[in-house]
Amino acid sequence: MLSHFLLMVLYAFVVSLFFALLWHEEPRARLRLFVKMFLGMVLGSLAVAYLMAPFPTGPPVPFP
Amino acid sequence: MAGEEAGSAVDVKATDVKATDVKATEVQATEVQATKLEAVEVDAAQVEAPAVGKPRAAATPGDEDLPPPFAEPQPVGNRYLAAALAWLWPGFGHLYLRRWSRGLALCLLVLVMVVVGASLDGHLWRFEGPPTASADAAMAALLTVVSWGLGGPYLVLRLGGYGGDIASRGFEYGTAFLLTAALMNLLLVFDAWDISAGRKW
Repeated sequence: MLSHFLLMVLYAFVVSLFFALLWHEEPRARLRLFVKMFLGMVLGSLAVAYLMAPFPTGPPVPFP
Repeated sequence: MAGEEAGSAVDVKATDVKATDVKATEVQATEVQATKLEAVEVDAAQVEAPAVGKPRAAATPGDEDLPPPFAEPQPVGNRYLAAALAWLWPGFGHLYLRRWSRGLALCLLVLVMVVVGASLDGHLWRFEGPPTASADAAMAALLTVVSWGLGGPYLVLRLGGYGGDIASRGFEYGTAFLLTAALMNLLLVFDAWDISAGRKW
């Protein structure tokens, strides 16, 4: 699983689920927090990626 | 006394009191009509207040994860032992406190992060060589202490000879997953402490 996007989604999923279970007891509150955190992380990352797109890339990766 | 417009009394006993302004330290009356009544002493046991907050579904017998309606959390177990078990393995502190579903779910999530991080050959921080006075050494020391927060899984990986592979394509991601798992486990330690101290369910 070496896709950048999939790893980011997995990270956001686990972290959002963790905090939703940790900070709330009621299912609806947990679901609400999970959705907000998950979408915030994924969509926020995509937004930052698009904002950085016009800028020049760094040196080439040393391995394929 | 009936018919008084305003007054003050230390001890008022009346069957029918009508007053616009009454100040008393002790009032015994069967019927009081007043526009302004101030009392210094109120018997709270005889005061009924409506329940506040949104009522929640009643807990099923044996399920200690759902808090009963309007109940305050109570201290449970030994908080030091709960925190130590929580550090030792993710979720053990919660299992000790009989928070079964919470402990198992959080344990699973932390272990998923550890497994993914290890499969990506992420770096498992440790002290290497004598300490040096540099920013890199300070950062490495900090990250090593943070990694220790992982507890049992850190020991398992270290004793199994795991160290990560900087040349791996997933090295940076794996490192992030492992560090996040350690921070999550530290949060579980604090959570177990708070539950044991009666601060939360």
